[in-house]
Amino acid sequence: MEMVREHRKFVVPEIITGENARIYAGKYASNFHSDTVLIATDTNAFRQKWILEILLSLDEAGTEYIIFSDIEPNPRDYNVMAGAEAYLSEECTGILAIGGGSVLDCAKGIGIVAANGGNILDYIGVDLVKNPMPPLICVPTTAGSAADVSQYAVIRNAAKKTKNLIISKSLVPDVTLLDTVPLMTQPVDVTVNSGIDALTHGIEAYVSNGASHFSDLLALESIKLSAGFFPFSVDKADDPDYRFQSLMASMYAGIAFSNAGLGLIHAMSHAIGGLYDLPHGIASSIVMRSAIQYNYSSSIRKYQKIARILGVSPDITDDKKVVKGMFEKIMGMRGSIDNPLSLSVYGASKDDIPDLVARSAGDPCIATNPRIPGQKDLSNLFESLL
Amino acid sequence: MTTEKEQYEEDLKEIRNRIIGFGEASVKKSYYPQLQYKQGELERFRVALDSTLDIVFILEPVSGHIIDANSRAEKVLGYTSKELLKMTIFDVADNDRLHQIIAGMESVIQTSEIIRAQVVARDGPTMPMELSVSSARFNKDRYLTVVCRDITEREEMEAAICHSEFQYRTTINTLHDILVVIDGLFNVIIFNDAFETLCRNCGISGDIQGMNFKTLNPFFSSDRGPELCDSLLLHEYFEEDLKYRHGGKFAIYSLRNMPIIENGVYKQSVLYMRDTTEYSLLENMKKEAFLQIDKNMEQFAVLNDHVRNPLQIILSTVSLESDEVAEKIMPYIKEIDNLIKGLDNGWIESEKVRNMIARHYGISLIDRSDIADVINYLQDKCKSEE
Repeated sequence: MEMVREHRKFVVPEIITGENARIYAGKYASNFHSDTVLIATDTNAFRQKWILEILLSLDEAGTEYIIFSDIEPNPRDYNVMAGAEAYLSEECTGILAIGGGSVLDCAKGIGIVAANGGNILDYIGVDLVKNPMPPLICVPTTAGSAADVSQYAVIRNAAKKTKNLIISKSLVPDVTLLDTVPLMTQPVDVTVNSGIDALTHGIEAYVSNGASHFSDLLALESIKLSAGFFPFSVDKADDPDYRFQSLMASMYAGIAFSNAGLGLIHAMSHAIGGLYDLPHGIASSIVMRSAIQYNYSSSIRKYQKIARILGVSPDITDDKKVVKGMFEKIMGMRGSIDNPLSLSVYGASKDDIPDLVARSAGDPCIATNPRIPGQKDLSNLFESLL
Repeated sequence: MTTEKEQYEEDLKEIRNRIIGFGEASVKKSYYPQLQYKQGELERFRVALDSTLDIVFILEPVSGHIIDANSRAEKVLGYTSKELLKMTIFDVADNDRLHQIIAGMESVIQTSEIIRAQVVARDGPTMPMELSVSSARFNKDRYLTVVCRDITEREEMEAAICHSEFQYRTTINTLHDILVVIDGLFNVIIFNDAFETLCRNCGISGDIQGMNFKTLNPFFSSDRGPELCDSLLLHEYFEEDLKYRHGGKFAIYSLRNMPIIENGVYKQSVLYMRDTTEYSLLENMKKEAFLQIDKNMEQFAVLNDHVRNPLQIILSTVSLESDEVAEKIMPYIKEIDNLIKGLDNGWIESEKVRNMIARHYGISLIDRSDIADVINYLQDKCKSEE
């Protein structure tokens, strides 16, 4: 394992893992002196039985709550602003986010605006959030985005149709309650796409130019865990061990990428996800092969290690074959989920390429990619996806 | 000279640095700096609150129990902070209205009221104070704030002002003449009793203060025409005779406008109106009398001529006819002539009076053509005899 002596920093939230960890929500709200919390969630999560224990814990702690569930997938700037308005008008003093990546990202956006004012789009970029947001307690209901442990939030600018990153240590939640129970009710496609997302986080964190010994440990552990429990089958849906492994894989990958950074896969997937409003997991799957192929030469040893963990035979040494084998293994993890992986299927054409190139080149994730692509490189990469 | 590509790569390096946690604002979410800042703000506020000359109490609603008091309260009232926190506001200001306000504010969302009350210090002396009582909500609790301002000096000043006002009111009311101050829009600002009497005599009821001076237009006229006020140039000094007519009464007023100019800008006018009816009538009567005297004197002059001429003829005729007779009547004729001479001399003396009257009253018959010759004759004669 590479030892990096360059300066590195690690920021992680307080983490509680285990079955029914969600019942600590009330206790933490009380510890934070949050008399009234805004529960950011989605309507599907709020219909589940397991949410009752969370509400009960709040009641027992004497914490009042208001529900904000007007959150779309790939949360829009206006979702954030509506949530912030609800937060301020109800004089909330904390946020409890219960949901997948979109809900958690939106909750972070609400916290930013509540503490700093202005519009959420004012904070697009890296390290632009000055005031710490209110206490944020997360109960993730998917195992993939890792927004519950990361310094990242992705907000869609509805007018410009762009997915924008807000990156700040201030966005790292205070507490995440990693509970297997809420994961049991996830649909199959969400489970798979989230798992692929977590794997991608692990891979990108591992090969990132901001990687460190600590992030490498977590990234590799995440990839190992992911390789162990995929492909997903429906009969595993209610298996707590399986769900717990997926949560751990997501958490490790999340902490790794939050501190080491991401790369080209995310820079490109944010571009196409924004332009065609695609789910993050599908967008990542579309760009993964081309991006790994492009990066491979800059971090051969690390990619070969990933390939071995994923099950690519050590006998295969040819670079192209390693990439091909790695990609096949990853696609194999998708099991029965068979989304088309050609960009043209989602309405893309050659005319869109300059726009996609500009979006990717401006995405902060590209800054920690092991190889910095030029405009021509990006153009070729997108063309290969059509 | 850096190329665009080099600049792009430099920018990405900076972004990478911030992503891995070495940006300016990149610290793990910590509330301590904010807490310190807020603490500093509170301390600054407390210092300001303590240094104010007003006493500030924070109270529980209904009971009026003192929750907090600034240091001014300790200094002025002579109680220690601990003692004050065991007291109610009524211990220092037992005022009926204060009881009502504090009892009623529980049900009112946000209100404030200012009252005057006597505040009692520890050792007994009372101070007149103005109490500003207001209600505020903090989180779910309601509090009352009472700001007590010592108004001893203000009350003394108010008394001095009242006395001064009484004096000036008394002074202007002792005037028989009318004194009224109006602004540029003819609104009455200050007036004396004489003006009020005039208004009431004109049938004007209601408040005189603020009344428009033009309301008096129908009752006054001048050489300018009936709409008197419309032609007045208030920003200039002037004197004007006004004729007053109402209900069969007639009067003449002499109006004097004294404009008040501040920094070159017209502010107000002081109108001074004196009833000159008697004076004017007397002057007219004098004029009439002098005119009559003048006429009488002219008649005398004519009469003299009419007597002297026949007398001359008589003397000539008698001298021709008989010296004896002439000698006998001569003393009588001389007596008559002496009488006429005396009258002529008297007329000459009267002429000086006439010239004086002509100068001062503009009355003269000298220019009248029908008697001009007679007057000239008499004047010439007087000169030749001298």
